Amino acid sequence: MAPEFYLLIVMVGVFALTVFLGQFPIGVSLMLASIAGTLLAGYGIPLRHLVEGSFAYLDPMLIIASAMIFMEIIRETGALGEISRLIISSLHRRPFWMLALITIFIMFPGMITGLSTAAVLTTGAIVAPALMAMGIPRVKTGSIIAMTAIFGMVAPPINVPAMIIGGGVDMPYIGFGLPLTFASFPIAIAVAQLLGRRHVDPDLARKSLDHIPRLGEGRNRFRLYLPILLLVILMLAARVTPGKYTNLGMPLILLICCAAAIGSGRGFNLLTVTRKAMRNALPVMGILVGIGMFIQIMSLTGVRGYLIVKTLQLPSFWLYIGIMVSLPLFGAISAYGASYVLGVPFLLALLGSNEIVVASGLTLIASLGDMMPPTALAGIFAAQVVDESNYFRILKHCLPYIFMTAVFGIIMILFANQLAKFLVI
Amino acid sequence: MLEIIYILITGAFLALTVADLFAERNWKRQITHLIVMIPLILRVLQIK
Repeated sequence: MAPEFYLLIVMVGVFALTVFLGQFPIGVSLMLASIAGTLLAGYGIPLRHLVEGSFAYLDPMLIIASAMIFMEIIRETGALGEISRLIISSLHRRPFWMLALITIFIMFPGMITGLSTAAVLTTGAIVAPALMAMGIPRVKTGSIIAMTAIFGMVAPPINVPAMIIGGGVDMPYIGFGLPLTFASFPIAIAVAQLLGRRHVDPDLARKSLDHIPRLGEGRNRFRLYLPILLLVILMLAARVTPGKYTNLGMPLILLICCAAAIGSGRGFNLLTVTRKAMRNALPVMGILVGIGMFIQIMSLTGVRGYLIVKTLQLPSFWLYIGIMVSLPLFGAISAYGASYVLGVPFLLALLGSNEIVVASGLTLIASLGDMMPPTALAGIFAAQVVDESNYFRILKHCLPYIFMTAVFGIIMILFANQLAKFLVI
Repeated sequence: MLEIIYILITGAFLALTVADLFAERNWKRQITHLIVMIPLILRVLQIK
C-alpha cells in the first residue's frame, strides 16, 4: 500500500475519533485531522498551509453569515408566516398545488443559505403545525420537512457543495442555475406529493391556518414582502443584464435586503437577531474553514492525488455504485466534507461528461448525507420540529425517497451530456 | 468601493464572531470561533 493510503486512514480516523469520542465540533475535528496528517507526513505543523486552507471558502462563509441574518430577520418581521398563510388560504381546495408551493416555501431558506438546517428551523418550523393540522401524520410531516430541506440545500442560487466541488477543480460557480433547478424542484415536489398528498383534507387545511402565527390586521403586505422581492430582483439584475449592472455579490445583496426588512413588519432588536443568526452560522462557517484546511493538507501530503488516481482506476460500474453509497454515507460526517473528499475525485473520474451537470448530480447525492445518522442534521432537527422523539422513524419513512433521489442523481450523471444541451446555457 | 464595503462586512462578521466567542462557555466551540476568525482577521487587515 502507498504511504498516502495510511495517511488518509490516519486523517479520517483522527477526524472520526475527535467528532464521536472527543465531541469536538466538526470544523475543529477537521483541523485536528489535518494536523495529525502533517505530523505523520513529517511536515510538523505547517501554519502557512493551514492559514492558506482557511481562506478556501471565505466567500461561501460570508454568504452563509449574511443569509442566516436575512432569514432570521424576515422570520422576525412575520413575512415567512404570512407567505405560509397566503399559500394555504388561497390553495386549500387544490391540495396538489398547495403542497407544491409549501414545498418550495420550505426550500426557500435552503436555497438562499445553502443549508438544510436553515430550511428546517425556519420555514419548516412555521408550516409543521399547519401540515399536521391538515391531516398529514407527524412522522410524515417530519419526513416532508427533512427531505424538502435537503432539496432546498441543492436548489439554486446557493449550493455550497457545488461551490466546494467547483473549488476543487478550479471550475467557477457559473451556469449552475438550470441544472440545480432540474436536480431539486421536480424531485422535491414529487417526494412531498408522495409523502403527503393522500393525507391532505381540504377542510382541515383551511382550519390549519389557526396554527400559523398571525401578523395582525392593517399591515402593508407589499412592504412586508418587499425584502424578498428585492432579493429576487437584485439577484436577477446582474444575470439578466450582464455588464450593465455591477454584480454586488450575494453577501451585499442579502444585507441590502436585511436593511429593507427593517420596519416592514413586526419590530425586532437588530443586534439580538444578528447575534442569534451569527451563533447559528458559526458552526457551519467553522466546517468550511476546517474543510479548507483538510483539503490543503491533503494536497500537501499527496493524499488528494492518491485518492483521485484510485477513483480514476475504478471500473465504471463500481464508480456509480461508489457514488451512490459512499457520498451519502460520508455525508453522515459532513455533506460538505463528502463533497470535497469524494465529490472532487468522482467529478475528475467523470471528465468527458458535462462537468456542471455531473457536479449538480453529485451535490444532489452528497446532500443526502444530512439525513444519515449519527449527525443527520436535517432529519434530527425535523424530528424536533414535529416533536418526534425517535429520529429513526423519520429516516425509515424517508429511505425509499433517499434511494429515489440517489438514483435520480445517477441518472443525471449518466445523461449529463444530453441534459447539458437543455440545461447549460 | 465594493472592496471597501466587503472589508466592512467582513469586519462586522468578525465583530459578531468575537462577541459570540466571549458569550460561549464551551471551550470546544470556542475553538470553532477562533478558527473562523483566522480568515476574517487576515482579510480585514488586508494581509491576505
